[in-house]
Amino acid sequence: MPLYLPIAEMSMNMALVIGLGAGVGFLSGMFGVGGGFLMTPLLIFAGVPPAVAVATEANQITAASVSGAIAHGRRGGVDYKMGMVLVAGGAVGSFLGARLFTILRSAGQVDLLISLSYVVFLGTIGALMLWESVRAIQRASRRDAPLPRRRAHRGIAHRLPLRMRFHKSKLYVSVLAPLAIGMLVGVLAAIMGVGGGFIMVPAMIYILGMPTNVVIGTSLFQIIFVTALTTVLHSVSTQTVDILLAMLLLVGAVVGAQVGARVGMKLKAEQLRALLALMVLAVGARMAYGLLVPPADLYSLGAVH
Amino acid sequence: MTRRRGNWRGVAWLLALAVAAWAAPTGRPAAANDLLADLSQDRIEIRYSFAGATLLLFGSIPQADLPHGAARHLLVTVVGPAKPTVVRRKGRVAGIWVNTDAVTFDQAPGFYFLAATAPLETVLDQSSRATLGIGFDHLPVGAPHGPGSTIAPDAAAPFRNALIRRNRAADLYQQRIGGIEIIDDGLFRTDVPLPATVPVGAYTVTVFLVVDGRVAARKTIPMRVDKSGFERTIYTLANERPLLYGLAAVVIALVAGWGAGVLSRQ
Repeated sequence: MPLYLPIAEMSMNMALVIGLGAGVGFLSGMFGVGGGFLMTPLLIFAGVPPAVAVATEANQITAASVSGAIAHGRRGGVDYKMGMVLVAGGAVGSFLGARLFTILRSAGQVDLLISLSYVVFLGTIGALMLWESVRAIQRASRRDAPLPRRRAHRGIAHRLPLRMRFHKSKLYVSVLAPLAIGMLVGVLAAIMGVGGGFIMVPAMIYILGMPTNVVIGTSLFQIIFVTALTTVLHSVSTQTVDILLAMLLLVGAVVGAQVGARVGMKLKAEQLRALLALMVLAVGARMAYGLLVPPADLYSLGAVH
Repeated sequence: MTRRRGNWRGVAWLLALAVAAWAAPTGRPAAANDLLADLSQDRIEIRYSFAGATLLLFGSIPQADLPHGAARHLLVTVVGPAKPTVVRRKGRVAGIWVNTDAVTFDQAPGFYFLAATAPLETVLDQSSRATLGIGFDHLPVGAPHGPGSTIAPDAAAPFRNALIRRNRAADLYQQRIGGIEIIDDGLFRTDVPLPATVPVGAYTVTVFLVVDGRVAARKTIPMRVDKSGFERTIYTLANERPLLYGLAAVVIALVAGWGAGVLSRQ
């Protein structure tokens, strides 16, 4: 059944949209990630204007993160103080990202910004994850190997000034480190249409040294606020948030995530991470392909903003 | 549904015209001297299920006062709302394909349809086509200008061609030679296919009757394309109250996400 999307100004098959949501929801449920880094490129490949894909996906991520954040909050898995610091940084980042997005959109370079961000971030993160998980798989086969040290006790977060105590995370670290992490994630949310968990979670563990039991909940807490702000900023500056598209994707994603979570429990953690890393790299490679291959038509049309 | 109703209305019109023509074969009723035309719909509504539409244009050609053996031709144009459109050209920079040049045309129509009973060269000469803006070569798209200044027409030509090529590929610009059906020497009809991406706004439909290379009569009919219902509410809110729209989007997302979580736990 064709469905006309009022903001994207195009007709899309409703089953395709819900199926896309379900597919990405399945993978995000299986790997325990937000899925924005998959959904935004898939929407672009399906013909949705990149600016609409990014802004709409920010809105969808808000919805997709709510129930997880509530669940983690109930069982004490959210460090609210750390969360607020990350939100403060994220707000600044989201604002800067949305400004950059608007400026480059009128200069006709926003598609390039989105593609390059995907290539750089997914390429880097995917390669690191793959390396780490392959080593973990090798370690698991040699049982005698020592476990890696998980927390960075004397990292940069401890050497910077303005230290602050975070009781929940049992940390006394510089407030500048979580502010900077939050800010980077905010910029990515605004220009890539992602929650940024794939950057934030490793940064919280390896740079801040947060205990793993509060990492997921706190990152979801930050993601809700930052993607909500990103949605409002994009609505005001570029009018590219398509509520209808976001809600249809959510319907599919909720169902898909339930199934995915069950399948994910049957796989080993390091195998899951290796699979996720390959997927991240594949999306990054597809984006790079789009930049490297000569386009079928060198010319393209755009509205004047 | 809407389309079918539209076609029936068109058929009814054609029948009425046919009856009128048959009932007064020798008389000179005023109507028979005029170029008559109407549309199956003067308003296209874009709803949630919109996947394009076909507009039916129909009418009758005046029979009287035409020199015997004169070459009669019809031209139909449908021109959508003009808006500034930027055409960008990619170039290779450091190995990747990047938009490097851009030319903006101030008045590019968002939709352009042309149908003719014969090849354009046989219908009208070059200068008349240029004056009337008939055909892609003469389509008025506004003055080209770059990021700061105006651009010479020569430099803008590839961009103008690309504007037309890309819009034709998207079915937003169409040209149909022989796309007008003449029924029974006086009645005509043509289908105007509107793609799903058709822009909203005011359209002008014009029928030209060309006799021996000169425009003998013309008839102009206004038409509108609008979003309606839910699509219209969303679109209007997003563009006129963007802050409210953004906040509403967030509230809906929070409620939907919370509700979805509750449902999926059960």
